[in-house]
Amino acid sequence: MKLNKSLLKPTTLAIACFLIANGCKESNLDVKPYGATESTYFDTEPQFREGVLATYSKLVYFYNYRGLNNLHDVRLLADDDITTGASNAFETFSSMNADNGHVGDYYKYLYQIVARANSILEQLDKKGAKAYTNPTLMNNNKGELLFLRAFANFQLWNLYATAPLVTQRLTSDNVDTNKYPSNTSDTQLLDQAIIDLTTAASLLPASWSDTEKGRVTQGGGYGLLGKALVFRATVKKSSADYQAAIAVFDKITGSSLVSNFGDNFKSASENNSESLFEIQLGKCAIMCNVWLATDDFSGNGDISGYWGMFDNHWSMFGTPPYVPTASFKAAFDTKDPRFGYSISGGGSGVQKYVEGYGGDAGTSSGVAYFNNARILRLADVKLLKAEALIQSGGAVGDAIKLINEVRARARNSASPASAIPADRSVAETNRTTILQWIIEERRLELAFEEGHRWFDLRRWHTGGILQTVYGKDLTTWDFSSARPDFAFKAKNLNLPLPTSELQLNTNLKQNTGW
Amino acid sequence: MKMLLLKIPKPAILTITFVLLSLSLYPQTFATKKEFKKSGQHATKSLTLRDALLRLKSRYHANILFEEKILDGLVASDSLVDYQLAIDKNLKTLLYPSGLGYQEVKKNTFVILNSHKNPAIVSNQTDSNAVSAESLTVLTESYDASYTVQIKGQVTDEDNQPMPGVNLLEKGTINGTVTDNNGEYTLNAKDQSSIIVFSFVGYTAQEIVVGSSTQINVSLKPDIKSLEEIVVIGYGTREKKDITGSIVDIKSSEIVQSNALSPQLALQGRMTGVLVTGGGGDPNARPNINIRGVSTFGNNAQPLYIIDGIPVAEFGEGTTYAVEGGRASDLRGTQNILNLINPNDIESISVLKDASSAAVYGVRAANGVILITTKRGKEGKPKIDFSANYGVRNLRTKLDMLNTQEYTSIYRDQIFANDKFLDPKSSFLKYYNPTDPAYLGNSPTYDWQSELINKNALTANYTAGISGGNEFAKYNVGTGFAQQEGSLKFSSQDRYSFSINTDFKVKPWLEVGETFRIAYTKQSDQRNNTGVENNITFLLGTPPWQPIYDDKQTDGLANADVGKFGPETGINFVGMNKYTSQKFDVTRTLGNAYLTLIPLKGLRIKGTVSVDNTDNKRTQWNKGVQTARFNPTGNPDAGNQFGLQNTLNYTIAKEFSINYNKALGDHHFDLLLNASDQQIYFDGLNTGVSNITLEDPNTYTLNAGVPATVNATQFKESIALQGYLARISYKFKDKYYLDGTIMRNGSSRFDPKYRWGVFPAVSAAWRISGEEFMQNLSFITDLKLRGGWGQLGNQDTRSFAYLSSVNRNSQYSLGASTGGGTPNTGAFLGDYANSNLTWEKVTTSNIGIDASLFNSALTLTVEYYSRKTDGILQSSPFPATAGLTNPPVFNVAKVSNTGIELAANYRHRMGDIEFNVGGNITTVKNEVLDLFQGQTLYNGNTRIKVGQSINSIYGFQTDGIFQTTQEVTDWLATHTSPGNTTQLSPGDFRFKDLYTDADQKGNPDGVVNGFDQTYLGKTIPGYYYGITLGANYKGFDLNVLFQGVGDVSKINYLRMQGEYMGGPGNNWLRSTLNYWTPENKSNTTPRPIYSDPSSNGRFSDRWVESGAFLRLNNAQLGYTIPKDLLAKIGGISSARFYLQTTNTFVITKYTGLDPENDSNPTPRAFVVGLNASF
Repeated sequence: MKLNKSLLKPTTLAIACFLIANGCKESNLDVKPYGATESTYFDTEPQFREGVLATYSKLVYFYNYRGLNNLHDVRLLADDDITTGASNAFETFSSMNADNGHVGDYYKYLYQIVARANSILEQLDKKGAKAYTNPTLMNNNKGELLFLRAFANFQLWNLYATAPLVTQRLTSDNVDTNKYPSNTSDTQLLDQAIIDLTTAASLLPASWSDTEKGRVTQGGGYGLLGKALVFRATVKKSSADYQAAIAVFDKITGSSLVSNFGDNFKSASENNSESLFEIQLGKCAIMCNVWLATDDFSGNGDISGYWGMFDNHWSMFGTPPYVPTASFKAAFDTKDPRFGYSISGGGSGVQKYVEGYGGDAGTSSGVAYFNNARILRLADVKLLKAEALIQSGGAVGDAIKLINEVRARARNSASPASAIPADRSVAETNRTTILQWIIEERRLELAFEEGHRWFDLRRWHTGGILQTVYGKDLTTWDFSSARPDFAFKAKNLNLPLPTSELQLNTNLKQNTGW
Repeated sequence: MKMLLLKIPKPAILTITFVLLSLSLYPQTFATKKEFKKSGQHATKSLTLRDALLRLKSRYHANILFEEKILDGLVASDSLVDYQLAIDKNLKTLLYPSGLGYQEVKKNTFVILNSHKNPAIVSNQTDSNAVSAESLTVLTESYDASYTVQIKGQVTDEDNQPMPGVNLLEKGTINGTVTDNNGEYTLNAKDQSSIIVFSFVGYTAQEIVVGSSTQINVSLKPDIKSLEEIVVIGYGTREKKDITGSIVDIKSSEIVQSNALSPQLALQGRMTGVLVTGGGGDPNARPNINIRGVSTFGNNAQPLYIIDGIPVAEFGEGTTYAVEGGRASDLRGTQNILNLINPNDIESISVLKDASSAAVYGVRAANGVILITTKRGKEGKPKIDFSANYGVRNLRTKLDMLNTQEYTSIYRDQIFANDKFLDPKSSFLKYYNPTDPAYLGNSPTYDWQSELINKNALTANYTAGISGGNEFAKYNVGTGFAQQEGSLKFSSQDRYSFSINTDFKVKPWLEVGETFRIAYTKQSDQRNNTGVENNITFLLGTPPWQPIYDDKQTDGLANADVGKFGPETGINFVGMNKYTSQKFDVTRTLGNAYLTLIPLKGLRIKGTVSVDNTDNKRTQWNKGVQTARFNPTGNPDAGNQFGLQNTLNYTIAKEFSINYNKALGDHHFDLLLNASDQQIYFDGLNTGVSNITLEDPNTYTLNAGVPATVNATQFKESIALQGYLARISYKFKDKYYLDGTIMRNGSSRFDPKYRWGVFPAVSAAWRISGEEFMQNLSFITDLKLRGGWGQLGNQDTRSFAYLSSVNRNSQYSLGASTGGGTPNTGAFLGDYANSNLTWEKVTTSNIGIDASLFNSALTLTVEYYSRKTDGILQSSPFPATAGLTNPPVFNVAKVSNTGIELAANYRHRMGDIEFNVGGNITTVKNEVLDLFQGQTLYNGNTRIKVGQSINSIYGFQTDGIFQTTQEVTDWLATHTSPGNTTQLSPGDFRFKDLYTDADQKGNPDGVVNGFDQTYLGKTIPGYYYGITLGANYKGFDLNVLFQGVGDVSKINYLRMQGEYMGGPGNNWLRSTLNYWTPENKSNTTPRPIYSDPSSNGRFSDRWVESGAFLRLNNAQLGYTIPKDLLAKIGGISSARFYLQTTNTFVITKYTGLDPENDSNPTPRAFVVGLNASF
């Protein structure tokens, strides 16, 4: 067979060359992702700002509507202030088990906050010095990340007690040792929160500019640090911790109780002078889709919260709303202006967050609420300090004075001012009586807010304080539940660790009793 | 069932239809014939070329064969012939001036060729046995006066197409003729007892007694000798006998027979190793294909589709992570990748099952390859084909639900079983209280089911095509229109498709051609609006007392009024559908162009560029205020909305290949070198606008919002793949075969360091029947032992899993302004980047025997296969403590699939009846060998666990129902079940306590909790099979296909919903009426109790059933109109009518609606159709 001569024609060769040359440049495989990658990010201040904000952003997951699958029950239903007619494991205790979806979700989101804080802290260490032109800002950011990690650990301790402590980002260098962490014991999670908050408080700014308002300040750092110290002091019966807490609380400056109690729960008066830390619930630039998570959908993922369970919004789809318990209503003097600001309809619903809640606007779903969740406010801190004073042998007068500041603001919140609640007698010297006043005041002041009552009951039970003051503990406590299947057992003091977690991590042991 | 695909194309057969000249025997016959035919036409006195050849023949005592018409009118000069030279030199001298050529087909036998014809076909004939001696019939045409019985007629093929060039010979004589271009002939036979033999290469000869008729039409049937069948393999075709790998195929006649609009379904039940699961009654759903088991996790187990050499890609391949995968499937829509192909356009579908066959497509071939070849033009006059079918589809089964009275009664029992746990103020009590005016028990029962079921859903398909060409250019143009309605309302598909294929032979050494295909489908598909309309199980959510229509409303539709019908009020989906819409407009274009150079005989250099583009537009609107009327949980404040989603998916593929084919004596080599480059791009845009004040939804655009704010997100991704391939095929004397392939593949999904993988494959075959010692075993037509081993790579996983990507989706609101502040972007690192990721490797090995016995009446294939996947790109869950957003991917898991494939086919002819029976069965043993950290993957009710089949079902085991209080007390004395025991009482299920810890560790611990879930069955069928039956009698033909699966479990979600008596709001299946009471001590249906406090409805063996079934997949009865009748009508060359039914019945123990699809069951279809040619 001979080569056909016409093949040597240049045109033919050109075609062949074209086919070969155009075929396979190996550089064609160098496909780059359309978004950024770690190696090309966190090189500038604005990029670090994004890193910090994404860590905050996860906090909103605890408040999202999520198609009625929201996590409010985890914080709110366990206590004796709120109940619901629905069969909810957090309300009944008896139907709680480790397969509960909310138990797993709350756990997962808290650790995602920890992981985000850890990874951005790691980036700060690596690239921060180059990236920041303003070293103060770098410190502020570091403070924020430590604060958020501490907040997550504080919650983990209060809910899950023995959940693992994670302080490092999981990387290929440490994956073998860190992948399957073991349980913590005692107050390890709180201890780490206290360490982080101590550093954070020293790094945080006193305030942020108007456009950055809502980020945590030094006051927030000291506030949460003091609170964590009081919590540890309660369960460890540690006078030193109480005293440290008092010292920390004293460092909070520039905050004051707002004149009207109700302003603490209105969207129009968010981030006010009394506020130490709020989770910023917002609305999307165009439209929030409350069924989409903000991590997954740019622009229309949900950054709003939900308060519809308090006012039996249509979006409860017939699920019974959260209502004040009989025992809580009985604890109130209805002439206390706080009654009206807390309870609606003469006792049938919850008023906090609902009045002027700022819901609906800007969404088509109608279930995106942008009224911020108040995590920590000065009234809380004042009562914690009073408690610390009482428990650590401090001046009882100072403690009573603090209680009375809260009560004075309460009665002045009505127009004209109410006589109720009257000041507590400054002559009282019985510390147990004053402690009971504080317990009762905390209940009335902080009802329905962010799990305060349950976390307080839990630590007072553990620290033996309920026994001292009331002669009974949570096993015999009147939770005033609407549910006939309510049954509290000692194991219910802690949530079970999620089944899925135990399946994946064999180093992890289930909490006692589950 | 016929496993063999493509016959030698007709033109090839035509070109080898020759007249054998045996002048020494019949010289006068030819001489006289010539005069008879040509007298008066050719007055030339010069020597005809024909006569010159005859002289050569007698001089050299050679056989010279030619087709009469080639030599027609050609002359030659005898003076040029030099008898001192060899015959071939003289042949050359005589033939070349006329542009003719020749080929020595066997010793001293020469075939005269029209050398302008496709040399590829000519070269195919170099095999010494390609033109076998017996097929070269002595031909003559007689005018002997004693031959007085003149007969006429036409010879047609199996498709009723005229067959030119068929040899006719009166048996025992030298009298004969050849059919003309219309397949017609005239022959004078000796007498009425004469026997005429009709023969044609590749077809079974037929003998016909002349008898009294003067018109004898004959239809020749292809010779079933599998040896001659040609199978499409990767980058080429090969004779069936020469195949060394595991390839199964079907040809167009079988594809058309299935009549499915989606070509995948044509494979169902007809092939070993290929499990096709249908998409049910939804015309837009895609069937699922698994080849030889399931070898990887997630959505990555689907085979690669190659259409005319173009690998097609889909958006979202390899995304298994819920959010990303969910979005990918949302962006992709419910598209079926093969929607762009009209099944009538397909010439053949080959499935490449093992590594040595599929290796040539190795870049994406790990799960097998489905190779689709479409019809191309053939030489000849333009031929028009037309087909039409029309039919109806109906659901085979319906839900058997409670009526209002039954429901109210059972619901009252349920409530009062648990009334102390009800909120005493609960609003719904009154609806079940017979003394209350709101009592629902007296309401009529409304038939919601009829509102969803689309009775007599239309299915229709019309196609028309024209094809033809000459030796320089060939074309095939096809067009089709298909229409299909869902068997549930609110879904339909209209498809318009066009295709054009052309092939040009520019020079003997240059061929170019193209394929272009476009399909536009218009789909209505409401599923995403309410999640309702494509799912019949939704009907369990419609209370029987709730009316659908209401005369008082202006639109006549009843509101879903909670105030009237209680909190259990369901969605009125009839109303929802009036005010919502979801439509898809999908245009897919697929085209390629090739250029082939043939510098040497046997050497082909080919370049191909192809583009595949899909434009998928989804349009949605929703009239919010109206739809809120029909949705009890609807948002009363919602405005009118409009959404537009546009997804582009385009692939550019380039290929360059060199193929060299060489025979050295008995040694035959075929070498292929190939380089390919593929770039795949996805671009999804999702936009929406709300607050539209316009009333008419047809006027909605993105500009219609008030205020005019458009919400938009974009999702982009690209993938690049490259592959280099070398394949060598060697055979010796058609007895010993060896194929070797090596590939080097690169993927952009991996870090540059780990990007390239090398994958070898070998296969070999021994055609035992080719050996001398087998020649005495006459019952063995063909016998082959073959085996192969090879590796393939799979790169499908989440994009950029090897990088730590920065997620910038999250937002957080900041700022002093009241009313929510300003959203700010957040950035986080949610990945654990695994830069070591590389190719997942599938190692396949197989050994099998192909046998063809009793003159091909019985064909058998037995094969053992093993597929081992190593380093599966596993999305590996880390504990939540790692705080990751995306689970990391590791090359860790191992899975094995082994099994046996068995196929047998028998055909027999008894007088006018010809029948065939076929069967095939494939067994699959699927086993997970290793997982990340050995850890079980939990996915709802299924798990992936070492030692078991992928996605095995796990749940609680029931242990009967507590019949007495004593039984409950006894059980509680030794057991607890956190969360489930506060109201445990007789009538509740007893669940088994099996283990202490997660993943079935430890002994019974007295605590019945999530750790006690155990293995309940596997979801991958242990075997699947098909049975085909066929018969022909005169003009009638019957084809029947049964298909089934066995050794498989299925979760009955329908019962899980319809018999779960715990919650409010649903209607229930009538089977619940057998519920437990102290009098009716059922051991299978528990007591009804509100809110199910003992969790009787938890996932358990109660909901797991056998999923085995046998289905009458397809039955078709056809009638071909006799030629003589058609001749009277004129213009039509063939016509066949048929009646068809699909999915006629299913034999199964499964108690749901359909063992394959409960939510949208496969409907039963009745179709009438027509195929005609002009």
